[in-house]
Amino acid sequence: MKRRSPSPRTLLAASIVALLVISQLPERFIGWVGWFRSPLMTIIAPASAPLSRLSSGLRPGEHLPRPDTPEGELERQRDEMALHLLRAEARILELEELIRDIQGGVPYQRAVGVLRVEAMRAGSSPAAGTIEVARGRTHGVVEGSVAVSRSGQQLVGIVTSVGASTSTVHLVTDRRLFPNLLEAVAIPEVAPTTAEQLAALPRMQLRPAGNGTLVSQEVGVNQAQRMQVGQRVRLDDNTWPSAAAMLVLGRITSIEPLDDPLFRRVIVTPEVDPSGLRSVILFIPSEGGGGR
Amino acid sequence: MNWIAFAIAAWVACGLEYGLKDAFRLGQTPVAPSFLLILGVFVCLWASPQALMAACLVVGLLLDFLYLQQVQGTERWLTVPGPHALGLLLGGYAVLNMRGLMFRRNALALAFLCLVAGALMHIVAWALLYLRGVWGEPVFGGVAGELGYRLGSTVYTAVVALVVGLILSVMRPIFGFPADTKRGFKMP
Repeated sequence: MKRRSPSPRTLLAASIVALLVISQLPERFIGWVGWFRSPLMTIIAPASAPLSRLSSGLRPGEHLPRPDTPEGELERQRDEMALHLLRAEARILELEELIRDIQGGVPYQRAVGVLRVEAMRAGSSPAAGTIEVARGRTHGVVEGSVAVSRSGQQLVGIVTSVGASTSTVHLVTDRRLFPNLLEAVAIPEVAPTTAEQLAALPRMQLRPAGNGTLVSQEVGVNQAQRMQVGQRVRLDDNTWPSAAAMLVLGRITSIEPLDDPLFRRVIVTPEVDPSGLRSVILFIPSEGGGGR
Repeated sequence: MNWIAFAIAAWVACGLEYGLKDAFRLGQTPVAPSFLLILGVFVCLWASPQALMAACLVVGLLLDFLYLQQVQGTERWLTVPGPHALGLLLGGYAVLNMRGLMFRRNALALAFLCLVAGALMHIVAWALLYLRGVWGEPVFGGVAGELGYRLGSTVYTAVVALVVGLILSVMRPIFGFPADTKRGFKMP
C-alpha cells in the first residue's frame, strides 16, 4: 500500500507548533540548538568578514600608528613596558596576599599562562553589544579569553561564546556585561614604580553607560581630587581573568560634581571604539579557565 | 522558485546583515537595518504561497541563529530558534494578502511591506521572548526599550529597502518566480 506524504499545510502547522514549543523551552532543553550555530557562522564568515572590515573602515574604531614611524614604534614599546611594570607591581601585591593566605592554610594554585592570537572581526550585533571574531575552538579560543585592541592595550571585551571557527566577544562598553561593575585604577602620567605606590592610587567602580563610555557614579571626593581629566584608567579587578589585569579601559574625560558634595561622577571614554575595530588580539589562558 | 538562487542571496544577505550592521547603525544606538528582512519580504512579494512560507521560515531561522540572546544578569548566551521565524511567517502571510493591492514592481511597495512585515515580525519575536522570560530565563531587561529599538530598526529597514529594492528588482529573473516564468496569453 502506498504511503501518503504529509501535505505542505500539515508540514507548516507542525513546524509552527514545534518552533512555538522550542522557543518557550527552558535553557537546559535547548542547549543542543546552539551547536547548529557554529557551522552556520563558519558558512557565513567568508561573506561577513570582508564586509565587516569595510564597516570598520567606514566607522573606524582606532587609528593605528604607521608601523614604519619611529614615534609609533616608541609609543607601542612605552605602552608595553608600562603594562609589564604595572602587572609586575599588581603581581607583587597579589603574591603578598597569597603568602598571607598560605600562612592561613589556603592551598596554592599555579598561575596560568597566556597565548596571544590575532583575530579579524567577522561581524557585529549592536543590539546584543557583541562582535564576532574569526577565531574559534580550532584555534584554541576558550570562553573567558580576553579581547584587546591591536594598539594601546585597550580592553575590548570578553569571549562569551565559542564556535568551531568563530567566537563572540561581549564588548566592555555594553550595559549587559556581567558583572557590569569594573574595578579600576587611575594611573598618573608618571607610572608608579613600587607596589605600595600602586596600592595607594585612586580607585573607582565603573559601569558601562550605554553610550560607549564607562561611568563611576559615586567616587568619594577625596579619591576624585587625586584624579585628573586625561588620566589613563586601567582594569584592576579580581573577577576578571588574570590576562585582563591592568589593561586600559580608557581615559578620564569628565569629573562632574553631584548633588551630594561628598561624591563626584567620573566618566571614562575608551581610547578606541571597541565596536569599530578591524581586528583584536585574543589573550587566551593556556591551561584551564581564566579565573572569572 | 529557484532555491539555489535563494540560498546564494540568503548567504549574501547574512554577510550584509552581520558585516555591515555596525556601519549602518544610528549613532550609539542598536537601531540598524536588516538585509535578511528585505530579502524575506522581496521573496514574499513574488513567490508562490507555498515557497513564500518556506522562505520565511528559513530567513526567520537565520535571524534566530545569527543573534544570540543573553540571559539577563549572567554571561550565558542562548540560541532561541522560533521567535523571528514565527514572526516573519506572520509577516509573510500579511504580505501575501496585501501584495495583490500593490504595484509590486515599485520599490515603494517593497519598502512599505518591509515596514508591515518587519513590525509584525518584531512584535511577535518580542512577545515570544518576553513570554519566555515570564516562566524561564529573561533575555532582555527594558521591555519598552527593546520594542522601541526593534520598531526603529523596522523603519530604518524600510528606508534602506528603497535602495536595495532597486537592486533586487534587477536580479528578479534569477529567482525564477512564477510571475516571471509563466508564459503570457498569446493570440494565434
